[in-house]
Amino acid sequence: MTDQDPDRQASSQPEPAGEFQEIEHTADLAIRVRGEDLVALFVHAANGMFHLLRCRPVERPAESVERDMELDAPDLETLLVDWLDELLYLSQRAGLCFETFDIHTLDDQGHLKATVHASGSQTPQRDIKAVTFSDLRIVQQEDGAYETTITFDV
Amino acid sequence: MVNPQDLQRLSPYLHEIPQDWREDMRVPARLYASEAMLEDIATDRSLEQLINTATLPGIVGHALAMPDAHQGYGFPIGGVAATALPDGVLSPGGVGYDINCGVRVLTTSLDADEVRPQMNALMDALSSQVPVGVGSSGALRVSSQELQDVLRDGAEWAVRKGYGLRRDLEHTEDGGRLDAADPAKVSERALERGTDQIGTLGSGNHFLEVDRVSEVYDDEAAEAMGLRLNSVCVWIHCGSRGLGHQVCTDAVRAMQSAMKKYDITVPDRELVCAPFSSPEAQAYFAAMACAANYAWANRQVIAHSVRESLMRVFGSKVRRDDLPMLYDVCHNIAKVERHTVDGQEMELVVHRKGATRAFGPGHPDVPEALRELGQPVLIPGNMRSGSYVFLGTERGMADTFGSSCHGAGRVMSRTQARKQVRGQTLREELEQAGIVVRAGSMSGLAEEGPHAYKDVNLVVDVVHEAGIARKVARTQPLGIMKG
Repeated sequence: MTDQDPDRQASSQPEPAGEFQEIEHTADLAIRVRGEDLVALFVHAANGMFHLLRCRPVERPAESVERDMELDAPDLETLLVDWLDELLYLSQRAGLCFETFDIHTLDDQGHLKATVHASGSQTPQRDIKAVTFSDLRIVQQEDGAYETTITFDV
Repeated sequence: MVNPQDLQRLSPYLHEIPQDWREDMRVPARLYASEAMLEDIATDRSLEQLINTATLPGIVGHALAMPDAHQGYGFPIGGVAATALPDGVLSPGGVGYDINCGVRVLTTSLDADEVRPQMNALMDALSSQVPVGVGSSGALRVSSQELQDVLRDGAEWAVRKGYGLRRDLEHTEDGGRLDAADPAKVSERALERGTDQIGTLGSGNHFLEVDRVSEVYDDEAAEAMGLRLNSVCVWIHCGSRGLGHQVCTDAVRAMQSAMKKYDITVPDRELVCAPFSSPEAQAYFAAMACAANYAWANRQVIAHSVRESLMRVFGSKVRRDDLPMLYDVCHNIAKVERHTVDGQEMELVVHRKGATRAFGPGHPDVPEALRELGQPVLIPGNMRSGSYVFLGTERGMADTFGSSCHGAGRVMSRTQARKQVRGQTLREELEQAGIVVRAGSMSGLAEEGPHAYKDVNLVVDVVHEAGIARKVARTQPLGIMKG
């Protein structure tokens, strides 16, 4: 058994107010994400995904992992899926949760450069199979902030 | 937004959304459901997703939703859509990320009464043989060279390696191997993810269950399938693991740009697609077939582990030959099949996303031993009410491209499901009902509890009454294993 009182643990890490919010989906998982700019939107989306992965402390911390990432996509929605896909892949390969996302470049031409970091102290307790494009649209609000809803296949 | 009153009632169990409901629909959409189930289905976005599916270029007949339908991504879960070759589209989102997620059932000569006292030992043996849970791996590691053989030959590879019997292949959809597989079309990343996950169950709604046959509705058919009242059978539900997820991820991404090339627009980007004859669709089809073959190899190796466990616990009471496979079905797949549409026989690519193939009696793709009866359809329900074995019918061939439901279908989000019951409480309730539970995560157990699903009895009644498949037997759990 990996968790003694997991029902309680499942809700022990609150969603940071204003960054992302889990929304109802009958079968899969979905989050609504908001960011004051595109960089914040992408960071909050990554935080939201690792929230859904239910990261928990590991008994014996592993070595930390740091990766540089460079992505190019034809549009921002595809870039967002690529970004989360890449993080999901790195996380599943290392069996670790990533906690720090330093985005150096992100432009609306679909180019992203970032350094991501996993301390080695957290591991996912849930599988996400994939990040989907389902109804994915990044929308700029009247106040200039960006919002989107992302659906994950579990 | 579609309301239940907007649907045209064609029969007590079949409802239609006419083609003129939305101007981009190319065919009408049809939903199999009882009147009572319509309200539930209308609470999420499944009907909107079904209408979206009806817009796919080249779609013929009707876009269909089975009675277990619920909101998915792109297609609804429980969705069936067939497009006409050569230029009808192939949509990776219409197959889903868990390519060839499916169900396999092994029957036994054991009675529930002799198995019950050994259930703890049996579940322990199964737990030690079949890795389960988040990122489960390590049952079997193959070299990159051998992985090519797995992708090409599927369950046949596993049987060749000693993980099963020749007869198993005859009782597996497509013999456990799709010919279209071309490992050269599978990405390095997908291959990397596939090296150590053969023989593992994974997590989510995947499970391994030891059941007893609790009801028989057709004695002759049940006997032919090895199902005797009170006899024990084993259900395996899992798919193509990380390799399959990666194949779909790669294809959905690659096809985004193909859409412009072929001047295709879709109402939801997850419905991304390309004409079947295009290089993009052919590349995906070849990779999808590899993932499907991987899933069959996976379930074949797990079936072998189940046999080993049964023989270890029950010793001389069972021999390998006493543990035959009833059948293996896939419920996330796209297949090239021949069907009659509006009186004309056509070659189609049939997408089944959370739907099971259900070919009728006499079809050459049904195993010879069962051909006169029809194809077995395996419908898992929930961990309390149990599951159903059905047979395909002529009516299903005519009305649903030979398709049926794939399970009970969720009715509640994972968050809601966790709020309604604690995993530990559910586990205690199940154990009080005599069901042995092995679960890696209590919250995962709560998310997958019976309360999160539709009443499977009502779902299968719709299938049976509509005549698209017919009831043979019901099984109920003695032990369940979840990730």
